[in-house]
Amino acid sequence: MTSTASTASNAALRRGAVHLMLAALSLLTLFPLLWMLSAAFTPNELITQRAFRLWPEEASLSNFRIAGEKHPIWWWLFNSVLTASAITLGKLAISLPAGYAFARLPFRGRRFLFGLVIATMSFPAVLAIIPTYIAVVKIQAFDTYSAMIVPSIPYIGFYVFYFRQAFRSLPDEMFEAARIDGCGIWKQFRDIAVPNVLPAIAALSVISFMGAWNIYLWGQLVLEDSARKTLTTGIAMFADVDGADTPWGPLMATSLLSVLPVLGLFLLAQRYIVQAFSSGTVEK
Amino acid sequence: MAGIVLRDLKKVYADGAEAVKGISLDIRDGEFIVLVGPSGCGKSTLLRMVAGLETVSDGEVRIGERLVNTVEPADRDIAMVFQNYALYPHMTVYDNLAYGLRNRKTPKAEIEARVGEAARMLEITPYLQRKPKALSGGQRQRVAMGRAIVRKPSVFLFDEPLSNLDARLRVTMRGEIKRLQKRLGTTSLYVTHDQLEAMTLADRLVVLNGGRIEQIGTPLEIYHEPASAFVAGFIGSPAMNLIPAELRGGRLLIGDTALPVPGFVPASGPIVAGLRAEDLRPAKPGETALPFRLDYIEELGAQRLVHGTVHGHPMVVAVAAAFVPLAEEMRLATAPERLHLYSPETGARIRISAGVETARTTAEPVPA
Repeated sequence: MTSTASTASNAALRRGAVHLMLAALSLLTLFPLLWMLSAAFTPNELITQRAFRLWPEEASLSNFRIAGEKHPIWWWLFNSVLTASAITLGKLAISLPAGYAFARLPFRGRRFLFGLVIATMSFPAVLAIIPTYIAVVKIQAFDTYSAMIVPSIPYIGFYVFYFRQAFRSLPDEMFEAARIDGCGIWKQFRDIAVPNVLPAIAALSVISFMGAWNIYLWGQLVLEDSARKTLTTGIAMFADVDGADTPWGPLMATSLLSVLPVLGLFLLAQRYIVQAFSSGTVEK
Repeated sequence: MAGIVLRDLKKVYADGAEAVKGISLDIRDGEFIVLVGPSGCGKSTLLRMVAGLETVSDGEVRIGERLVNTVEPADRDIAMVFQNYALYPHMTVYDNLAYGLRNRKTPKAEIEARVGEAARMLEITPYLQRKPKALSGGQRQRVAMGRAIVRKPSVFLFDEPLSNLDARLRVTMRGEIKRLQKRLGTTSLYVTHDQLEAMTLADRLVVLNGGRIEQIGTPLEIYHEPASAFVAGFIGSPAMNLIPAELRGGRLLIGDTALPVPGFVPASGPIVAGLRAEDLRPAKPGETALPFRLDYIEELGAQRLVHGTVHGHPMVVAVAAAFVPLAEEMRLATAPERLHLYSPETGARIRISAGVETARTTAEPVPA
């Protein structure tokens, strides 16, 4: 009895220790975010005068106003939404039909081509930056939305692979029924296949949007005009321009602006993302 | 409405495997034909070739007068019911039924009328706005049938449509399919591996084995006169008892029991004797009889199936529910005219006073 009781209390102790450690780690992770949140609403002149507070004494939106006067941050927000949406749509527009073709259409060289698509996943994107940059400059697309959007679309190896799996998991008979119902290949794709892989589309859309939202290096290279920058690339201008006198309040306000939409999107689509990656298949 | 004509139909896959090895079949307008056979016999492939879901390697498929070998499934004037229903999960029941008609640019008012009529006929009107996920198996199967009916096709094709249902529902749906087909009078081709389903539904049965037709006939013809040992062993529940025997001097020797053969048999030597379970009965004293060693009894309620061996070969006897075997050793008698004889080499039926059947039979090795 005694030994059983001590084993039980040992287990509880161990569990408590693990929880304590996890709590400490999450605090460590959350701390910068909380600080950003607090700083974004603390008037700039108070930030460096006071010690850290979880919530400012006098919360104010002045940092957003100041940031907006210094830089076109609302344009940056618009540009971020525009480019991330366009990149996501572009990726879906190519990878959905490609995944469908690899999953359901018999054609010569299908396995080989699919192998090539998969091989692109192991290609480091960084290697393509210089040639792509030269190409962008040559076709006079430098500092345009297209320069930001178009070269970011083709990295879809994983998307094609994932959609192929999703389409393969749909029963053949459903497509045969559709053929008897008078559907050609395109209609089978549009009316039957796509509506049945919506969870997969939702999951990859969010992942693509978040990825595109966070593009930094490429944006720094091809976007020059301040009004055309995205939030991620624009934020750097606070530090660059102001040097030692970095206005931390407006910088944090802009950072908050760059985090919130993605966080919101993730929370909305969390269910699909977890579902998509835990089950490995889509809903039948 | 239209009949179906198959001429020397063949299906060879890319790897050389032959699924259908030259099948010819005439299906009359309005007829209910059931294709039955064990898995891998080619019955589904044959149906899918008629549907246009599988290409034809050789031969002809005609629906009505029209050669349809290369016609798209949608243009063959057929409708198909699948084993797993193949409903569109993202559409409501109404849209599932209406989808094919919309693709054909049928006027909206007519779509509504046809869907309404089919729904009434199948008693699924209350579920029209539901998605398939919210329906039971039986209701889904009705929707699948409805999708076929609204098309008003010349031919219904059924690919094991009841296999996913539980036993009780299967019996109910079987009856409904038969009733519906009678009412609509549409030519139907139905695939199943369930011989009971085949017997109850068919106007004519087509028994397939190894990509070839073993026998075509009405359910009773096939039951009473199986054209081969394979058909004898496949159709009927329990299956016909097949036992190695010998023909000598106009008598049939099973072990050391000699049974009289009623008439002339154009063969002698080793043979396979077939006896239906219900054609065997306990022998009266003094009667010629087979020695039977009882193994176990299967209770079916209305009758009992007594399993055992005769000269070491398995044998099933159907007896009345009231019959109680008194000992493990029994003696069984049969009426000589109930004997079926098959060639041990080809499996072909040997007709008493007629001759070896030459047509339609290629044989499986006969089970020993």
